[in-house]
Amino acid sequence: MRKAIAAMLVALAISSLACADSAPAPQIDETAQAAQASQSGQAGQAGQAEQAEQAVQTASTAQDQDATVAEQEQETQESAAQTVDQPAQQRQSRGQQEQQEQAAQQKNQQTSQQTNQAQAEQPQIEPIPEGTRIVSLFGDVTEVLFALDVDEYIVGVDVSSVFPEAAQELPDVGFAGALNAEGILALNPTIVIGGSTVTPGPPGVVDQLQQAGVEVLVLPELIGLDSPSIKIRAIGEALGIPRRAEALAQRVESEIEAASPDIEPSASEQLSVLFVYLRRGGIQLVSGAGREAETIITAAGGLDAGAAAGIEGWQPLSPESLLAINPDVYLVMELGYDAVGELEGLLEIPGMAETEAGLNRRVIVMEDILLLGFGPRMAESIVQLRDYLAEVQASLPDSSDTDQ
Amino acid sequence: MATRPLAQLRERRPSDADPVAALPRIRGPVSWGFLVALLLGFIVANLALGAFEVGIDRIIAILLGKLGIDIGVEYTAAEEAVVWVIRVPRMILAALVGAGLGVSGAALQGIFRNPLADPSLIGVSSGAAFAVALAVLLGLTSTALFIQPLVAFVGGLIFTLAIYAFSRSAGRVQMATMLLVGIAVNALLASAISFILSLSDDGALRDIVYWILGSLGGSVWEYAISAGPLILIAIAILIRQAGALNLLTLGDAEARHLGLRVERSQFIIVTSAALATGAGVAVAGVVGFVGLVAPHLVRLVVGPDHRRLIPGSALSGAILVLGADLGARTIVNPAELPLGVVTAVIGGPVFLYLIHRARRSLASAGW
Repeated sequence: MRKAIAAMLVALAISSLACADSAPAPQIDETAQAAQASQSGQAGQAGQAEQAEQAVQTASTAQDQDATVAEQEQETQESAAQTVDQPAQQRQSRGQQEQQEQAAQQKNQQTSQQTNQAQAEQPQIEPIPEGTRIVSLFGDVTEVLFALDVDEYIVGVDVSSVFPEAAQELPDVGFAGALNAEGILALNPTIVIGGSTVTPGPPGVVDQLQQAGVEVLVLPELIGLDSPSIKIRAIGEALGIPRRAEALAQRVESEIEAASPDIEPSASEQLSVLFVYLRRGGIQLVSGAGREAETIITAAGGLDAGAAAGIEGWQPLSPESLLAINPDVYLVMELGYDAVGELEGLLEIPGMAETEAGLNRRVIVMEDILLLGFGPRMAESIVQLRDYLAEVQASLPDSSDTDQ
Repeated sequence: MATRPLAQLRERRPSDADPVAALPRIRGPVSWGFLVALLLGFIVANLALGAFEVGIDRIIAILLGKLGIDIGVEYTAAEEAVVWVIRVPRMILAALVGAGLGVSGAALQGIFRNPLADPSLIGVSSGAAFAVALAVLLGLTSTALFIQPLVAFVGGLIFTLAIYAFSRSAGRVQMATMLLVGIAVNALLASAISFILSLSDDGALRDIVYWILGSLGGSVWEYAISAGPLILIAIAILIRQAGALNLLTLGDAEARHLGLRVERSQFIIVTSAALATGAGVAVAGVVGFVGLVAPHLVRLVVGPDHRRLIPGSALSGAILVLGADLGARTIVNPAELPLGVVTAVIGGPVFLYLIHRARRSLASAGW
């Protein structure tokens, strides 16, 4: 018997050694795939690259040509905004009377036009240093890189980088909290940029990369309306294109300012909005003061119901406190909304159906990274939320009726 | 000697005056040579393979270059960084963490006289996981090098000592009581961690889950230099306690009659196991299954004598974690699999297979 066991262990060892031997083969496969992926990614971005080149040329020559480039950009932006809008709007219409969609779209177009004007004023495009290779570790960083028009220098992204779609074609370095330094180094980056939502980990990875001679930028946690511009400026500084970043930051700042005017709506007109973090099977969380949702709800002219009820940060949702808060509208993210089974599933969560929002089926669903990513599309997110709130406001029968 | 019928062994053991002498003898240098060769093979594989391709001649040149020997092979700064900054400390930590877990598992299986005991039983892993989860929830984590490992290490040791203290009555620690207390505290900590997870937002949630699944991805020299000596000291202490463990296998009362200072030995063994595991958990997260499987693998080869079992478990634990980490960092290039998942995927089936093959002889081979 002992012989048999020993023989078995030897066999085991041989097979494990064989595994170790065969490891390089799939590895080569994967590198090949990665190379392919990056090629196809580059192919996909070839158009944009050309556009950028064109932009550099035109910028140095004539102003009017510059405007045509800006127009092209505006077109792509508009189409992107629409593809993003549609699913959310369709969903929303289920819990909501279909109204004022056209008005909403008109408003979107208005902001896009403002965008266009801001772009036309953009100074000449600063060249990024030769040989720059960027790995982005969060979705918002990736969005900023695309907005800065340096996407052809990105050599790797994390799993959260889903917007724009071209980002999904790039080599995937996995989840930012569980990185493999060697895998990142194999992409031969010159700079690695981490987002503020997930701390790059495991601890030690940042040191490993730095010791291997790679520049690492980790953004601090940001929850204010100035988050996008702070991110853009920090990233631009690190990439050696501060003027390009400054132009984008100013544009984004003015967009956000335009999207969130300082007019204080009267308390009677203000809808109380509760941000609910939906998750399948788990305890649902509500957000209160000092979280991203408060920033965006306030900017869109709503009242953060959680913060108003004295909640700080994230808190588990209890049916009773939910009834005490009694929000007019729920604000939720798309992935969580799908996970709990959309409107039906949402209303089955204890307490959710009995509030003002639940009784009237008022649920606003928005794309996750658009809503809380706080990237360059923040103004878009504010406008979208403001429009949805306006729809809800318009659907209210009368202020006296709602008090009943 | 090795061909002696097992039935005969089973008959002889209970009545034998010196049970250790009657246990099946190892087949001498063959099995040790085999274990050491396997360990060396995995060390070389861990240095040679990875997402970043570096030729074996260049790896040798880089390593010798660090010793001041120039063998005339050119290598780039990037290759040197990958080998010296990433692979070498990671390989060292994988071997040390595995050795620490294996030895702790063997010692705790001995002291609890329970083949299912593993380092998590004394609360060190779950205590560390709880401390880290709490720190992440409260936003105390950062990319700073030593915050998270320190939180894990201190948390693990606090809970082990708490379990030990709680199991003491009238100056004596009943191992059966400690086993039960350990299980209760583990269940308590597991639900506390689940509660923390339910309160966490997406980022924190994944931070905690990935830490609990274990990873050697962040191994830097600083970790190897700080955790390494702790693990090595604990292993050395446990190897010295092998004789005491053999006596404790008979039962606490019997060991006391044979002249062993039972409480003292128990305390030394538990704290050393907590130290070896805690230091490993601090730098690599919770790496499951190794502490349970590694001693059993070796026990089937070298027998149940702790004088051989403890060093043997150090070797098999190191081999297991080196092999698992090789898989963790190469299978899904350029991303990384959680180490704990790989050890469970390898360890689980291997364990089941061993049990299946050795069902009849398992009892006589040690239990």
